Amino acid sequence: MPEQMEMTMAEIAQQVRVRNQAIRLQVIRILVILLALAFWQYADGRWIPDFIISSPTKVAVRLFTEFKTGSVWVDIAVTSEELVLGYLIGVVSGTLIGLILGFWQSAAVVFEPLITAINGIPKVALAPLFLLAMGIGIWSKVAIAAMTVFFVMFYNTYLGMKTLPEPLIDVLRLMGAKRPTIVRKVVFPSITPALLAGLKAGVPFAVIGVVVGEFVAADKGVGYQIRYATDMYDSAGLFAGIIILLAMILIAGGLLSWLEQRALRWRTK
Amino acid sequence: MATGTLTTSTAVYFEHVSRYFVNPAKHIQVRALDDVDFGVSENAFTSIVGPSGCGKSTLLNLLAGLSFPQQGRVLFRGEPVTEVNTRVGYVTQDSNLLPWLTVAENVELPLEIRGVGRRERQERAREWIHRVGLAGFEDHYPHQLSGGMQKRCSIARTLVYDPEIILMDEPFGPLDAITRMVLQAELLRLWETRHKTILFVTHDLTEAIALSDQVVVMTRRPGRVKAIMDVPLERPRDVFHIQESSGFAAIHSQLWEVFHAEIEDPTHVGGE
Repeated sequence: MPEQMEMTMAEIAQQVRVRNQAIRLQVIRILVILLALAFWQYADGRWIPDFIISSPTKVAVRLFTEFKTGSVWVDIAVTSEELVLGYLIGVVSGTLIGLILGFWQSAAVVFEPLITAINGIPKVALAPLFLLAMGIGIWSKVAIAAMTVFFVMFYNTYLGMKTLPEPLIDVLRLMGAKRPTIVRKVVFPSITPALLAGLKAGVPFAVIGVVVGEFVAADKGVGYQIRYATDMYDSAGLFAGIIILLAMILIAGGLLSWLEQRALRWRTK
Repeated sequence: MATGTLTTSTAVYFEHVSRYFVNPAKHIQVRALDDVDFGVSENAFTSIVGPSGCGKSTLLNLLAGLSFPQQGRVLFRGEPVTEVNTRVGYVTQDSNLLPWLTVAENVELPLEIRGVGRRERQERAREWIHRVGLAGFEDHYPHQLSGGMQKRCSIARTLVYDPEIILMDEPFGPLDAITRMVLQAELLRLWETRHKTILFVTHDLTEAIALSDQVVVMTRRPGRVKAIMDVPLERPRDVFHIQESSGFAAIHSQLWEVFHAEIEDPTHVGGE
């Protein structure tokens, strides 16, 4: 951008100040984390029994050996597969139903209260039902994850559709645009922020769905390993599993943030 | 789209048009237009002036087919407007640019919708962006522009596709005095070369006189036609010196006489 080339000294000084501030903030954050880890390390076996909290070093060693022997990859693969499938099915179905009810008001009047009522049921409570119906393989977990993600995506899409910018639609109609053009030029771009918010919010929901499914009944997966470690009073294994889950969420979140920045370039800066 | 059969010099006719809005919360009917009856000649520049809330914008919306009268008809080249009127170009009061498109993409949009090829589209858009003084801002998004620049972009977006009739709702309202005059001059120059029918809503009497052949003065709500005045100033006109031209002062004071009776407090003029 041309105006960025013409910065005054005051603006440069201001930028340096902002950057220094940011660095200081990062340092403080890292210190807080290190302090918490040190406290965790010290508390293990002294204040809190080892079988409850383990310690950072034991968890690190456990993660190292699990990745070295390769045993953990099977679980990561299974959980990832369930996550990706459940997430995609939930995203596609939630967006589609949201769009359909957004376009078709008479259907929305019938179905929207029903969907809201079903959404009131704690999804976790339905997990055993899915396992009963679909067995202990991946599909029961896929279904639970898909269902939780569905509601997130549905509401984001539907509310986006209810707040479409009518004046912009009128402008296009006057230009002679037909419905498909209006959908492409106005409807999709204006619901994009809501869709992206749904995509981001859906990730932790999908993880919850999959992990709960694996807790209840499974023979593979990160959630299953956490559950198994718990049964064995193996707190290091439990924390190792949690850290793997955390890493998976962070990677997915990072990917979506990148996507969001690309899709919403028109909004800021 | 078949007209042709009805050859008349009246481009638009508001035929005993009444329009009211219902406020469901209070069960109140707000009468915006009351028995408005006037015509607009083909190829004429017509301004509509009136106090705030007198239904000036409503008139344009009716002609655009974005809303419909409860009584009367709006005739466009002899045919009643019953659906969105794609033959008018409408510069609305808000810029209504698509925020996710750049300046160039916004201006190209109507051409794209009308199936103009990419190269011609880009050329015509560039020409108009230049004409409204936005050269260099082609790749900016609307939120990166000032209000006045957004307005100019929206004017370019309407004029670029050369619609049959142009409706403008206070198009120069948020602009600074200089830009305003430059664009008025540009609009006049354009109109003098192509002689399009233009319906121009404003609350600025000087602007109305400088641009128009005919000024329609509306009463305050419910809007009625109070007077229709011809502006016999010779063309081409120079908007920069219009106030010094002979006859201007007389027309202005005459128009002001009619207009100021409609302002509730004549000491507070201007500002919609």
